[in-house]
Amino acid sequence: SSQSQSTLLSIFSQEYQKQIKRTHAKHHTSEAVETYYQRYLNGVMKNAAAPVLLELANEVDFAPSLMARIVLERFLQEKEQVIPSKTLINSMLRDPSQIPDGVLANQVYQCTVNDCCYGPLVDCIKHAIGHEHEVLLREMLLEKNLSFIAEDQLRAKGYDKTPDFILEVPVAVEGHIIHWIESKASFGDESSHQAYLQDQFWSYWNRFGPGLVIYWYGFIEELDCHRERGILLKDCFPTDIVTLRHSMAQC
Amino acid sequence: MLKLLAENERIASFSPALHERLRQAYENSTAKVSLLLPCSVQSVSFQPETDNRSNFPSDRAFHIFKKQRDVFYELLREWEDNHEKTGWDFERVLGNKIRAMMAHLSATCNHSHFARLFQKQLIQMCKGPVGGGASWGDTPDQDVLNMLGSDNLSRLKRLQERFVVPQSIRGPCPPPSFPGCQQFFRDFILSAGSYQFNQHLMDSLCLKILELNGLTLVEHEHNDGEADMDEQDEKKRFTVVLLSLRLLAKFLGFLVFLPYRTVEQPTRDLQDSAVALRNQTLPVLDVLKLLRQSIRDQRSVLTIPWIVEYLSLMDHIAPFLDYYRKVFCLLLQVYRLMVLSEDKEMSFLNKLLILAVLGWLFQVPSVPEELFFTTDVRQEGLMMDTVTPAQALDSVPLVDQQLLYTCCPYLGELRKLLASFVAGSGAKNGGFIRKITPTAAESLVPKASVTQRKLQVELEQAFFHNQPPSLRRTVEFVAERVGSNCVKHIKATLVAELVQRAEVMLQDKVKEKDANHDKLLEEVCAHLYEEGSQALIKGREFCKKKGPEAVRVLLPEETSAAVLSSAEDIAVELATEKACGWLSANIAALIKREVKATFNRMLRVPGLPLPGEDALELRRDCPPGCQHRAPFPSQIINEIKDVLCIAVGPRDEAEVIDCVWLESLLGRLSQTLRCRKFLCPTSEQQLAKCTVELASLLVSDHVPLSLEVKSPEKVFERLRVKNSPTYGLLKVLLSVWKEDFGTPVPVQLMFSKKNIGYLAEAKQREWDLFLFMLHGLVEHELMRTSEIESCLHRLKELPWPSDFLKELEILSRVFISEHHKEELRTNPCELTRQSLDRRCCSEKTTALEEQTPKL
Repeated sequence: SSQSQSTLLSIFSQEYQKQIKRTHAKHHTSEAVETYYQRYLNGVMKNAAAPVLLELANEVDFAPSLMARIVLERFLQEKEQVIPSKTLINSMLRDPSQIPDGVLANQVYQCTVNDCCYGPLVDCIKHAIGHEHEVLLREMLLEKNLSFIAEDQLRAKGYDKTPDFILEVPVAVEGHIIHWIESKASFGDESSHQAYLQDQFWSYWNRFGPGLVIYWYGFIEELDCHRERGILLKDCFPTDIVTLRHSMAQC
Repeated sequence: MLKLLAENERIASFSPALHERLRQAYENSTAKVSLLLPCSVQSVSFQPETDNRSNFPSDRAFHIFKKQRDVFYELLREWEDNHEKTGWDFERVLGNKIRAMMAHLSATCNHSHFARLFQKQLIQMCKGPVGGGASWGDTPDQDVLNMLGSDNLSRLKRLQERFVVPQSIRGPCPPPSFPGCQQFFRDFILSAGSYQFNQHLMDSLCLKILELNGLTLVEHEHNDGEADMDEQDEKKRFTVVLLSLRLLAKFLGFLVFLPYRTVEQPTRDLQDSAVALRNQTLPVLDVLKLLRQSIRDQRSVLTIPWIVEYLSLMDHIAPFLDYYRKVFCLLLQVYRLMVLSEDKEMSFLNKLLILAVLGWLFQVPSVPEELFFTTDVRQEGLMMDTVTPAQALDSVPLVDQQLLYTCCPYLGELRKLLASFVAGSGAKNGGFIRKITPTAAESLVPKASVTQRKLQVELEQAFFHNQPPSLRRTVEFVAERVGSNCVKHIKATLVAELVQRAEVMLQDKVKEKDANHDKLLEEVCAHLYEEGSQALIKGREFCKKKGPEAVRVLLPEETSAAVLSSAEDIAVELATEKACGWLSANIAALIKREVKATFNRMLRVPGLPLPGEDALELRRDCPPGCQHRAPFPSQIINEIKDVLCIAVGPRDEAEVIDCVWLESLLGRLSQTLRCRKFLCPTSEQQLAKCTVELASLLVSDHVPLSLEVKSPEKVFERLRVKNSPTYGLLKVLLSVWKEDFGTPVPVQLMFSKKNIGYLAEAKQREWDLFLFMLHGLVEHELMRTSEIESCLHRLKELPWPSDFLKELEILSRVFISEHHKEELRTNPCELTRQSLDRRCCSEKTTALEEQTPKL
C-alpha cells in the first residue's frame, strides 16, 4: 500500500541521514574541503557542463546538497576573503541565481535538485508533508468535536514550547489522560524519538502534563514505554477516546 | 487508637473503670477517617501571565529559563527512576548538572522565576500526607475503585508505595526528616549551594506562608442551616492549607538555619560568642509576631503547627538567641495552659494537635532541655480577644483524626504498640486532599474624593454586614474575575485591532530605505494611543454587562431584588475599578509592547506577505464547494522536483518526459493551488520558485519532452516545429501563475544569470520560446514592459560570449520596438523573424536563419 511505501521512504531517509551524520566530520576537515574544491575547479575547467559536483558527492558518498554547501562556502571565502555567513549560504542554496559564478550556480542547483534527503527542496517537501498531516489531524479533532488551541494561537499567547494542539478539555485515550497532541509525519525510530523526547515531548509534559504523539508513518513498538508516565504513542488517530461527559468509543 | 485502647486487655485488667470510659468514648466517637487521594506527580503548568516573554528582561533570559525548566524536570525524572536503586548518589549523579543550571540562572538573573517553579513543584508533589502510616489492604476498597476506576488503582498503589518509607518514623519522637519526594528538594538545595537561589526561595516561601496563614478559611455561621456542607468544605480547605504551610515552613526553616548547622553541639564558649554575634540580625520571618497574633485571634491551630515545623530545623545556637527564646517561652506557656486547662472553647482534636506537635518539638535534638527550666522565662500575658472574632479557628472542629496522624506520624508508634496486642489491623487511613487556588482581590487606590470614597466603603461594609458571608465572597470573586476578564477582552479585541492597523501603517513605511525603526515605531504608537483611550469606555461597558450576569447566576434564586441589585452594582463597581485602573495605567505600554513585537516579527520575516499587502491576499479561501480532494502540495513539489531532476541532468539519452503527463501535472498543480486547505506559505513559495525554474528550462529547451513514446530523434524534430508542445506548457504555466497563485511568483528569476545561461549554452537557441514568454508575462500582467526592459538591460552588462550578447541585444530591441509600437496582437514569432532578419542581414544572417524556427 502507499502507506507502507511512505513508511519505507521515511525509514530510508532516516537511515541515510544517520549515515551522513556519522561521516559529517570527515568531509569537513580542512584537507577534505581543499581536496573537494580543487577537484571541483579542475572538473569544471575541463567541462563546465558536466555534473562535476554531483559526481564528486556520489563518489565520496556524501549528500550532494551538503557537498554543494562545502564548495560554495569555500568559493565565497576565497572570493570575499571572509567566512561567509550561514544566512548568505542558505539563501544562495535556496536560490542559486544569487551565486555570483554562473557555472557554480548551475552545479549547485544540479546538486540540490538531485538530492533525495537534503537541500532546500527536500526540506520544503518535508515541511509540506508535516503541515498536511497537521491539517488532517485538525480535521479529525474538529470532526470529533474536541476543542483545541493550535500552535500559532499558543505562540501568540507567549508559550515558550508549543505542541501542535493543546486540548482545551483533556480526554482519555486508551485509558490515559492526554492534554496535548503532537503530529509527526515520519517514522518513529529510536534515535529520532529520543531526540524528540528530549527537545519536545518531555518539554510539553513539563508544561502541560501527559499527551499523545502520532507517528503517521509508524514507530518502533518498544518506544511506546512512557505511557504510564504520560507520553502515549499511536500511528493513527485514536478510536478509543473517552471525554469528560460521554464515551465516544467506536470500532 | 481509641478502639485499640478500648480493646486492650491489659488496660481492662489494670483499671476496669478506665476501660469502660474508653469503650464509651470509642462508641461515641465521631472521628471519621476520610479517604486518601494522593496526587500523582505532575508538572507545574505553564501560565502565560507569569511565564511568557513579557515576564523576562530579555529574549536570552526567556530562552534560558525555557531550558532550565526542562532541565529541572529531567533531573526530577532521573531522581524518580533511580533514587531507590542501591548505590545511587544524588550529589554524584545530579550535583554538577544542578550547579550548571544555577550558573545559567545567575547569568540571566532568572532565580526568582526558578524559585517560583521550585516552590510550586514542591507543593504539588509533597502536599499530600507523607509517611502518615497510611496502609491500603491488598484488596482494593470499593470506594476507591468507584472513584478512580480499576485502571488507576495500580498507579495509586505505586504512588502509595512511594509514600510509605518504612524507616521514616524512628520511634515516638523522631528527629525532623524529609520523607518521600521532599528528599529531592532538600538534596537539590544542598547540591545547588547557591546563595542567590536560596535567597529567592526564602523570599518566595515567606510570601506564600504569610498568604496562606492569613487566609480566612472559616466563614460560616454555626447556626446556619447550610453549615454542614460548608463545614466539610472548610475542613478540607483547612487541611490543605495546614499541610502546605507545614511543608513550606519546614523548607524555610531548613534554608534559614542551614548556614549555621553543625553536627555537634558547640561548646559553651563558642555558643556565647555566636549568640552575641547573631543576636544582632533580624529574623527572616517574624514568627514571634505571627505567633502572638494567632493566639490573640484564636487561630493557633493553624499557626502553631507550621511554626513548629519551622523551628524544628533550628541549629544548635538558634534557641539561645533572644528572639527565639521569646518564641519558645510563648510556646511553652501555650503548652502548659492547654495541658492544664479544660478549655471548652477549643475543639478537642484541635488542642490535641497543638499539644502533640509542641510535645514533639520540645524533644527535637537541637532544642535544649535547659530552655524549659531557666528562671528567666517571663510570663507573657496571653492576650486573647474576649469577643470571639469571626474567623477564630480554634473553636471550630477543624482537625480530625486523619489530619492528626498526618501531622504527627509518631503518634502511630503508640498505635503500633497497641496494635501488637490485637490481631489484624486493617485500619484505613488517609485524607481527602483538594487542590485550591487562593484568589486575592486587589484593591485600587481610590481616585474619587477621600471622604466620599470612605463613606461608600462604609456603606458597602454595612451592606455586607447583615448578609450571609457567602454573598460578600461571591461579589468579591465576581469582581475579581470580571475585572480580569475585561482586561483580557480588551487585549484580544481593541488592542489586537490597533496592532493590526499599526501593522498596515508600518508595512508601507518600513519599505522606505534607511527608515529609523525606533522613530517609526514611536510615531505609529503615538497615533494609536488616542484610540487606546477607548479601552476605558469599552472596559466599563464590559464590566457593566458581565458583572450582573455572573452575580445573578451565583447568588441564591431567593435573593431579594434589592439585595441582588446592590450586589450587582458593587460587583460592577469593583470590577470596573480593577479593570479600568489597570487599563488606564497600562494601555499605552501594552499597545507599544504588542506593536513592537509585531514589528519585530515583520522585520524578521520580510518575505511573508502581510495582510492587506495586495489583492492576492483575497485568495485565501478555497473556491465555494471545494471538496479538498486536490493532490497534496508535498506530492506536487515532489513530482516537479523529479521533472527538474531530469531536465537539469545528468540523464540517460533515452530518458524523456511525456508531454501529456507534464501537462496533467500542471493541471494538478492548478487544482492544488486552488484548494487552500493543505497549502502553507513555504509550500506555495517553493512551488512558485520551482515552476519558474521549470519555465526557464522549457524556454531553453532543456526539458526532453516526448509526445508519445517515440525515438529521441523524432521528438527532437517535432520540437523544432512551431506548434511544439512547449508553447502549450508555457501557456498553462502563465495562466497558473496569474490565476492560481496566492503568493507573488518570482518570474524575474527567469532573467537571472543562471537561467539565461541555460539559453546561452543551448546548442540550438530557442529565442522564439523566450520571446513568447516575455510577451506572455506582459499579457498576463506578471511583469511590466519596463521591468522586462530593465532586466534585459542588466543582462547585457554581464560577460557573455560575444555572439550570444549580440543576439540578446537584437532580442531586446525587437521586444522594445514591438511593445512601443503596440503591435502586441500580431503573431510574435512572425515579428521576431522579420525583425531579426531585417536587422541582422548584414551580420549573421545565416546563423540566425538556422536558429529561428522554420515556418
